[in-house]
Amino acid sequence: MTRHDEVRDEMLMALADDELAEAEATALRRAIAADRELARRYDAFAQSRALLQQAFPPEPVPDTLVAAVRRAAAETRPMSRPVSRPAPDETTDEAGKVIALPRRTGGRPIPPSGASAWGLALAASVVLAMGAFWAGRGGMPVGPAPSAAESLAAAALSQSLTGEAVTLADGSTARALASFETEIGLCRLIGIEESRQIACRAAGSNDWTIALNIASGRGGDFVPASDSFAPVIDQMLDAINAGPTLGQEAEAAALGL
Amino acid sequence: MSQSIESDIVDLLPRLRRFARSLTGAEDTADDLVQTGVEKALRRLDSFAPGTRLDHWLFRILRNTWIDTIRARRNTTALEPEMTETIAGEDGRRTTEAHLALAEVRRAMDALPEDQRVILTLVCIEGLRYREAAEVLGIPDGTVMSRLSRARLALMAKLEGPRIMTPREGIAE
Repeated sequence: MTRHDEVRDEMLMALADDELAEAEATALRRAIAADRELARRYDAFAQSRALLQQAFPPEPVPDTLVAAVRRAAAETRPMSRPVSRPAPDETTDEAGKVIALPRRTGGRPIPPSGASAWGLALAASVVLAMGAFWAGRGGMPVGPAPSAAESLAAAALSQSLTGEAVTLADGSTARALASFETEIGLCRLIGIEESRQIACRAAGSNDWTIALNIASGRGGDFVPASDSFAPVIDQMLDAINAGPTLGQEAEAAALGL
Repeated sequence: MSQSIESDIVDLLPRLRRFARSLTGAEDTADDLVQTGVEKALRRLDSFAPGTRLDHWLFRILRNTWIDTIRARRNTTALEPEMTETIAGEDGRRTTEAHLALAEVRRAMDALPEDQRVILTLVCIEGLRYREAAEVLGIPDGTVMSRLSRARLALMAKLEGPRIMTPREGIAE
């Protein structure tokens, strides 16, 4: 590799793109250092890469495109299709049951980058669970029953607005994360350490029932605490026709504070 | 449809647009292509292998969408010269030397054929390895290298001039 015309453009380019094996790269660098014309040819490849990166920075996306993508995503989301639901009166009787996520069996270990796909699988299982929930009879996957302390979290938080926290009997911290008006009454998203639950209270009732329980950290069979909660919670809120998050005033009124 | 894939895709939109632009050569069709491609991807989420690159998967779908539908529909081949960026007097803003140089790069890029724009975008801008680009485009590794090398030389030839090219000879040693 002493004469530059013996070196193919593709070799020089591969060096500039860091695609050469180390031994080859070292030899070629040495040749470039000794040959001005070879160096000029190499520079063209290295520069073109740098120039293109500077000339094409990512640009802001028009809102219309973001909106179109979100709309398309919403249309593809299974729960956004109309589902036949029993009248609210019939469902409140069933709301006392805990919806848990079926255990995942035989799956491949999920790499960290697969969190989204994991969320998808979860969302699908919630759809199934919700089907059983709305059908109002049996067949519902059995999951982790909330602990005694967890089942009282919503009651413990009944005087607390979103953002406020209380300490439960077992020492864990429960925090009100959001409140929603839904077709089965007032529902609250509650975080208990790494677990999440949605607890609901029918109008005129003082009893909170857990509509969704996503446990983590105990037992090992359930979802790890992560963003993969979000799609599951989202599915649930969709299914009970939750409105937007209640503002402070509306929340206080709903809680009777 | 998972909320998190949805937001992953939204986060990728700037890059998807940039890639689409390398296919279409014109901004308005690029957004059309992104939208159509993403809709297609959303309907086929089950064919996305967890743990693989979502961005590369979407690039592949965009390119297939371009070939299958949008390109045929629009029947646009080359970018008209008047559609390329006007360098002079943009909004009376003071245009710096660096600005001019980068605008020239964009113009030179626009003047290249589609397959060269696409390979340059994937490797030089998006930073894909040759093998990854070969997978996205469905071509052999060797073709990636020859096409990319030709594209780089064509781009630099268009840019040839004292402002851009700084041959080693010009640098004090």
